[in-house]
Amino acid sequence: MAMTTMEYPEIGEKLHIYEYSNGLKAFLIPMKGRLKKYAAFAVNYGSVNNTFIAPGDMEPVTVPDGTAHFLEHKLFEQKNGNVMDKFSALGSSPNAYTGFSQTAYLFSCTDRFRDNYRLLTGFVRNPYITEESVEKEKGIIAQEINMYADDPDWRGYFGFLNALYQNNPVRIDIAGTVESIGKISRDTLLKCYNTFYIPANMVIAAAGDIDPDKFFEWTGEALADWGRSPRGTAGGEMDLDGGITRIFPEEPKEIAAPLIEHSMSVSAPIFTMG
Amino acid sequence: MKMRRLAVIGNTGIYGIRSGRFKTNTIHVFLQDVLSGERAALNSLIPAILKAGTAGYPEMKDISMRLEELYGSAFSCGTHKKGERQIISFHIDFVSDRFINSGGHLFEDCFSLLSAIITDPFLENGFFRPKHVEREIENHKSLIESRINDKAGYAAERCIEEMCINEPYGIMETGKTEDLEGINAKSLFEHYRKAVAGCPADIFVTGDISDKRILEACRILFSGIDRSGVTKIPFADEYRGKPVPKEICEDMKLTQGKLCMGFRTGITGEDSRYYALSFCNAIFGGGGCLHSKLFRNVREENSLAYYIYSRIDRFKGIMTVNSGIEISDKEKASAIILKQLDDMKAGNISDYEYEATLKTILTSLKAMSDSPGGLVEHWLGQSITGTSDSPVDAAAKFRSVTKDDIIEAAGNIELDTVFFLK
Repeated sequence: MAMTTMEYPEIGEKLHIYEYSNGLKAFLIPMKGRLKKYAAFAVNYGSVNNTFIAPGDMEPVTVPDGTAHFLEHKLFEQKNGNVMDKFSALGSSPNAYTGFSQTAYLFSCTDRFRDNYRLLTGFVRNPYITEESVEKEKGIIAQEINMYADDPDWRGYFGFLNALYQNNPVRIDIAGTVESIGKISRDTLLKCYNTFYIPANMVIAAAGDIDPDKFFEWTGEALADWGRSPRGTAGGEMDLDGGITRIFPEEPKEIAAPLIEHSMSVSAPIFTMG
Repeated sequence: MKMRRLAVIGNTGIYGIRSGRFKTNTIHVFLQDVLSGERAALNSLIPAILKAGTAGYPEMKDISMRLEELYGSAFSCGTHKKGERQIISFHIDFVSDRFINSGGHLFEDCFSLLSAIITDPFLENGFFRPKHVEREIENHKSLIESRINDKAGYAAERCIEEMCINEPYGIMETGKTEDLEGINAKSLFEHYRKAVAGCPADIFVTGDISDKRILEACRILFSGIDRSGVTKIPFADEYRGKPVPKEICEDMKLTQGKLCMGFRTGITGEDSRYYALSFCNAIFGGGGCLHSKLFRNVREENSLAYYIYSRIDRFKGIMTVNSGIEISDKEKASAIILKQLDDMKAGNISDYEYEATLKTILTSLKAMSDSPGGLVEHWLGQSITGTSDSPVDAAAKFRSVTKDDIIEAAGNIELDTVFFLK
């Protein structure tokens, strides 16, 4: 497959796209003369994907709220320690975030882009999750949940989503609750990883003073042989979602509640409507 | 890319950061005043009332429409504190002429709008409009009151207030709500006139604009104002002596306790030991360092927190630690934090910690050249401390810091105040 290029002459930028045979799409925005380089590896999977049928399975599975976010935390754990330390040794900063419908892993650096990029592709591709480390993470994530619980704007926004939707999982906090994450185990995380973290369900992108040919070559070296190619569906057509069935509950036309109130110490009432 | 002080006109430093790398050019104007209880609220109201209208653009919406005409340029203003100084800032962002058919003078157009906002406000009977002043006072009052909404930010501010209860650094840069009483259109206008005439000022221009154009534009800014009486602001007194630690607890019915600890370091930005202190802070709990002692031991090893970091205000020489923890874990977390500091004082710094931290610092200094805002912030800091280290100079100074220098800097750090919001 060849590289395609989109040109944006008005702003003097280009976007190069390359799709690998396993369905992974890679994007590069070359930024000549810039010293900072940035890459992000993302999966089309977020907090709302809590019920699904994995490829090859017959029955749907429902996982505890906050599983996608928990998995984001645990992917940093590697066989020989936390991969954050390896980024640190290169002087770069890794990070990650989970949204309703995506999870992204990223880093920024100025030097040794290729080494950093190898770390990024390596840890996202190779989960190493132990029961012990899952238990350890629960305390950290509980504090992340509690931090948001004290944030009035966040509370207002989720109160609003709870008033709007009766069943759609978008009404549930991305990180779940202290109670729901208590039920997450290594098996839960691996089930979700194996279902969603497949090349056809992922994209990788970089920006910075990086040569496009080299970038797509490095990406190919790191990821083109990643096991599962897109599965054929019954009709034999290519299903670019890798055969994942995402299940969402029936959502009634009616809103869940006209008003939800929550009391906390703020200087003046905060509200969200829509 | 290079940064140069182009001139000093009317006691105003003019700096150009020339680079063709950016699509967006910027102009920043900073006025500085001593942070004081009498003037903090008044100074905060200056940008608030100035953005409400100029002689040529009487209402906020007129300014907004002018910004739209200027290819969607963005204006912002406000106040913040750096050490014991209050900084009043005005800032405009605009697209480089090479992307538009503006006739090549968007910089001059933006500069003249910024200049009008700062020096040519809309006046009624010789003063600001009472209606607008009342409205801005109300807005400012809401802003001051809303500081309790951001729980972590509020706890961090309260810690500094308690720690520096007898020092200007403990004053909130917004002032207090009671300071707003008695301010009217006349008194605010008179204060504003004194401030634009008497406050040290710096102007920074970044982007692909020639020195000649910058100097010509800057000559206009304060041309109608006699700035011969500008006085230099003395550098903040650093605290001397060993503090007696105090502890304050405040109740807010929170889900998570916010733990803040304030330390005296005895070292400020103009001190030659500053780079060792900054390095020391980065190993201890620096924000960008995921391998910092606090992050590793409080979060990764003991699962006590999601966020924990330390930072220093180099204009005052204070280090603070901030974290969100289970309310019942306060003693345990505090003990682990203090143990990390003791470890640093005892010289327990691994080669990995030293090397990784140095690389992280060097990366952020190098990346600064991609960020006009970061460069302006850097050079404003240098202007305040009376130093002139470029990011490259700073990198060299960090490289020359030894482990012994770091241990020595750590030896100066003493706990002063623990503030716990729960």
